[in-house]
Amino acid sequence: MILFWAGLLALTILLYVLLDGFDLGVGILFAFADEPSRRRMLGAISPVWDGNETWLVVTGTILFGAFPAAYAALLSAFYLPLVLMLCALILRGVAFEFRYKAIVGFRWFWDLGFSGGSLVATFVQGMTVGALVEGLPMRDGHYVGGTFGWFSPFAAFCGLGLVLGYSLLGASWLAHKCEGQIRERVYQLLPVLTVGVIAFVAAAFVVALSMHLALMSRWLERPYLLIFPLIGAASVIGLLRSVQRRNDLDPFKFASLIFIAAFGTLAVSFWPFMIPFALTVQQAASPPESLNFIFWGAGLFVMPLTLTYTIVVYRLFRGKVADAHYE
Amino acid sequence: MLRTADAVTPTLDVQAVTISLTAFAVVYLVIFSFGTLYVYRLLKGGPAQSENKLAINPKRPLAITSGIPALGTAHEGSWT
Repeated sequence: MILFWAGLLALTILLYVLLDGFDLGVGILFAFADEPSRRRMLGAISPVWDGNETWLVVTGTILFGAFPAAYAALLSAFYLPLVLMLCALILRGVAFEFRYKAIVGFRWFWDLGFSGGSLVATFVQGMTVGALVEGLPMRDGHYVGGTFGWFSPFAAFCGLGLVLGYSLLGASWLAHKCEGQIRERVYQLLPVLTVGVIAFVAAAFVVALSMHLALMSRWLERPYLLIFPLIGAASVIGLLRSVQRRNDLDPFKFASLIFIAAFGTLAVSFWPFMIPFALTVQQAASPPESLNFIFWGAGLFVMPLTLTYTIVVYRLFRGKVADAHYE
Repeated sequence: MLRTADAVTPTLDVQAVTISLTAFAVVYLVIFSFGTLYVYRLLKGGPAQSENKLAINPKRPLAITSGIPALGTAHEGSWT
């Protein structure tokens, strides 16, 4: 049962990163677009963005119900950054409606909330992962680092890396959903972002090696980890090719594959730890009675329902965003 | 059982809680103030002469009133 919940947790985190990743990325790119493009960019994500964020809620719920020790440690450790992320997500959420209700002269305020909110939320998520990779100050499964114990230059660097990564996902989503000028600009941008992401991953790897991070020894202990960089490299080639061929569907698939490869690397390196070298999946898990109990409600009913809803929404709103007709 | 005093996060200090409470208060104050203002403007403007209400995304009640371009997909009907 622990394995079931750990697997489900991995799935929801991955889905969140892929789905909210692209709409946060669109939010970051939004800052660089003109007004007609901005409307279409919002149109490309407005039916799905809140559904995408549901996966963050599901992730939090699984942590809370199935792995309370990890939930307590993570939310204590990242208290301020996560509060900041929530405020950022709130501000970007209301911007979808409020920017059209504001007088034109005040629209910049909500646009700033939208773009800035996307940027801050992305940065915090990247930083969180960076801090986990570097290793949190933990004792006996409890966080002991204080209010800013999570901060480090390496964590901040990972925050910037995820900004690049989500921008790549967002740009590839726009190639899939948009036509005309946006599509052209995005195709120019995609190779640049791809190179940026590769440069970040390479730099992060070298820095992590030079810092002698404990997690890096996993590459020697578990040589099969190499499969993930290979998948990543193949996806990069596929992505660049699909950009060359102007194949609108493929960039997003390959960008997702890059993220899946990165996620696989982290998941396999972390295992069996949930918080590296401080809390294992076993230690963090609820008692078997609780895990069994939530399996019947959340595991067997809510999860399939949420998945079905997600699939239906994406099918319903498939295709390109059509031209805006003004009233 | 578990006393409230024993359940408090040991690493959380007054400063952090003050910051988070203030942040949420400010964000909600801004959003609800402007939300109230926009609803007031809508009410003052009166009912919109809209014919295509059915095509509106039900998740977005504020979008029913005019002033927003109706975006649609190439495959399906229009939505905003």
